[in-house]
Amino acid sequence: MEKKLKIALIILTMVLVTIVGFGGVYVKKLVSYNNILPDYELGTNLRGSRITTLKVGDHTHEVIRDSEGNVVDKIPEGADENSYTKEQVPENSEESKTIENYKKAEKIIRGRLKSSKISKYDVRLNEENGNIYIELEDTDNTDTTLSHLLASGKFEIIDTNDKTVLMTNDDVDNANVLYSSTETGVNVYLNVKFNKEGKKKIKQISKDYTKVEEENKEGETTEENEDTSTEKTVTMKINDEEFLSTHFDEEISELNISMGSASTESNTINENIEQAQYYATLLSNGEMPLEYEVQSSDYIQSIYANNVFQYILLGVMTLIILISIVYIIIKHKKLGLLSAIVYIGSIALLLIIIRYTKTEIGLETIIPSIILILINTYVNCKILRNLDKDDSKEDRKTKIYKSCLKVIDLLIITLIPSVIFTYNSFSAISSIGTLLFWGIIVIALMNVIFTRKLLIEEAKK
Amino acid sequence: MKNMNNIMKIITIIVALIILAGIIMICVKGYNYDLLYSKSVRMNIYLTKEFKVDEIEEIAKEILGTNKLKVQQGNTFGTVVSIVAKEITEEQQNNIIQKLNEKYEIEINKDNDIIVTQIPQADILKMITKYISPLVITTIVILVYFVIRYKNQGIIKCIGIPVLTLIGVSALYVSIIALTRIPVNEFFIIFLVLIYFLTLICNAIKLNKQ
Repeated sequence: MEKKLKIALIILTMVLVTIVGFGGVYVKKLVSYNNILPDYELGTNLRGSRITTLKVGDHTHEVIRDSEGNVVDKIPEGADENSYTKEQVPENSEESKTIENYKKAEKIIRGRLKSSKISKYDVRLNEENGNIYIELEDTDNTDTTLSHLLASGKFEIIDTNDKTVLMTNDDVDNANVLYSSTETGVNVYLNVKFNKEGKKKIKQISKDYTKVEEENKEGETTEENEDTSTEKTVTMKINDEEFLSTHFDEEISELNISMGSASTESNTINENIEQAQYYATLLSNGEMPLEYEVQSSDYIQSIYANNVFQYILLGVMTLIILISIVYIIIKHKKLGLLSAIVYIGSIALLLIIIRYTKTEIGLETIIPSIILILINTYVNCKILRNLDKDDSKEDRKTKIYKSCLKVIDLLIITLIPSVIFTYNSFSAISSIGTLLFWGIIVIALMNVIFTRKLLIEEAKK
Repeated sequence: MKNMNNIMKIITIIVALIILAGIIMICVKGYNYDLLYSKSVRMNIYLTKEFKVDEIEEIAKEILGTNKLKVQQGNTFGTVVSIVAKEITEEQQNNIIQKLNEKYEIEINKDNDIIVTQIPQADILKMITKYISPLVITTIVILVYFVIRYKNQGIIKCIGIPVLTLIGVSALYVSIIALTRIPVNEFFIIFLVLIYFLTLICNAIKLNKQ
């Protein structure tokens, strides 16, 4: 009687898990019943994405030159306008529209997307006209991401007075974001690292551009008169805009630029981090060789977003599961049926976990799903294969224990890629890992706890 | 046993021939890319009325005279439609606009409501690249595990055979896809990764049995 009660209890638990996993938990809210389980997170290939085409800019801009041919920002007030010439210059010269520059632009865009930690993108280059096709996940930040892709990324350190260019993108190795906590709050820094040549240059610049206090005749510094100190400063420009002007207090080999002021407010800190991350992304990937503009940018639904395709996919997966279950039942009769009940419960439990861990469901989910179905079937068959209907409980315990030892290897080998894939920056790859990881854990636990218990309780003696 | 060896030899030769033929096919003709992954034209139309994708697909098929096209819905309001085909000439664009104007009783302005862009062909290597590092790390870690766990079976069985089968099975798969001209799309990579995993698992089961 106790034996039957235990079996019934396990089966009832499995039925309950199955109902919750496949159906959900509905609670009445006002007039309608709502599922309190979180919704599944669909990936971009089952929803849609932002499809953008960037074209090589064909606009012109006005350039003003003085009588000596030097480019000036504007004609100074009161100056003779006739001594200045204005001309319309294309933003991209014909000579700059080369296949090398197109490829360089594509590489920079890929680099910027990677540095911005965009988890899913497709970038393609039209080598004939340099246009770049970009497919991105559509989020609240997609427009910001696109605007970052269009930035020139030009970096310069110039002498503030005579405008001599001291450093350019060619001297930069990479840039990243640093933080430090102080009493006043969190400081965010843009850390710029230079290459070998760049390090030499910044060391020399930091020596040359220091605050120099002029000595008086007696060789002592003057404390009262501030005018005796002179400053040689440099101006740092990003995207042709002045970023900061500064002098140096000591010799340096890399730049640490404070973004905003220290703050304890999370919003301000996040803004500073975003700003620093933006500049770090630009500096790490170099200057765009061409100016680009958006030709079109629309959210387009995936061809797999329609219900018919999703039902077919679901149907195929269900069919594979059914074939596995029927195979187990036909091969192992009553014991197979008991295993099959836990098998279905495992799938239902995994579905609940997927909802709570917000694992992305996309076409890539096919990979872990098929692997898990096959492994679960293999594990069940391996356990059931050695069992005999006349086994005593002790025999069953020993046999199941031996079978479990044999399948442990397989579970470990599947856990290895699951962990490696989970920590990948691409969401599609990391979702494969997450699903595989939880799937293996569920298979191991459900079989050890429930299948084992059911099979032992079922033994006659 | 002798028969078994002969069968294995024949299978190996057939597999090698398929891989060789596949390599030649890839070098000469490349892959047959699916429409959304090949060089094509995307025509985005901004309508002022809601539409049904099926209806627009019918119109596009009739005007372009081909079934090889994709019609995708745009924004969530259902007022942007995107037609993708190998080629959409100026005349065909005008005809599509005219048909849509008639069907939905609207007036599409070609300058403001239509954007036609060329889609470049996808690069299969760039599509696979993101999977390479996790797969390589996985393979190395699993091979190290094989060596530690089954060291008594020798290096050849622990490393040699798994590496050979992984390369062989993957090469066979990509060759078959190239030879059969099955369109390459996102499923190509999904099944490549799946086959790779299954080969690793089969190797593990085989080593375990021995």
